Amino acid sequence: MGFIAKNLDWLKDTIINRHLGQWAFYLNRLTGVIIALYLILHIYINSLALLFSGDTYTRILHSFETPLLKIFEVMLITAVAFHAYNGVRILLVDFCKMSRKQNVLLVFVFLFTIVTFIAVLILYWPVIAGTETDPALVNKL
Amino acid sequence: MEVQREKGLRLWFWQRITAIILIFGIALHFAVTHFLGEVLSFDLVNERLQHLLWIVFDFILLIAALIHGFGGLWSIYLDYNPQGTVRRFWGWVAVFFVLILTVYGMLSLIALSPK
Repeated sequence: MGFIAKNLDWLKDTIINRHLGQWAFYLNRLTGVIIALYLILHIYINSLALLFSGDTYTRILHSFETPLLKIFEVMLITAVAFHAYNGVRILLVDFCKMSRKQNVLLVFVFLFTIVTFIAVLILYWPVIAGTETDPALVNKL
Repeated sequence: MEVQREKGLRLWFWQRITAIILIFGIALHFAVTHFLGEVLSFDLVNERLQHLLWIVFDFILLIAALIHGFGGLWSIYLDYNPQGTVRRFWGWVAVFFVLILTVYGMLSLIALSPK
């Protein structure tokens, strides 16, 4: 099946199958692809000490402490959180005979994801709001 | 194990094994690298990596993440029913990326851990 035909097929599924599980499937794919691509970037950033020096590594990591990149980080952690919680649901369904409970589990997945999003947002709020006053950081910047 | 004998189930099996490693591993990874409120620096990472256990932990996390990530991309690709040479080609590309990034990641860990 071709690329376009396959995606049209998925679209049809979503319109016909108005089930929360269909959205869980899409979100799991979407977050999975985003995380996999980020993983490559993550490995590259952590190789800066290998490619250049420890100082370069520190300098570039510090340059990431901006409101915009913190918002990006909050979104990324939320994506990882959803993928992980949904992964726990899949493991429970596959290995713990909980397929009859998968709908309830899915509600918990969404709830935990929202709670995680709010918690991380609160944790990173000082940097996002631009009120970060850590003197060590200000000096290094 | 029974599932090991069925080739199509091998990917399913390893996605779940790596998922279990990643659920616990990434929770700990986030806790020590993102949620302590410290700004990451070479010195901070270097101090943590003085302990061999952290290097082993990071390396296991790296391999699990690479297998799970590329295994996931591969399973999406399989949804489009690729056949023959094209399928084998992209399969080897995925294996190549996992191997190269594993070695590259390990070298990066070593570069971050001198005394």
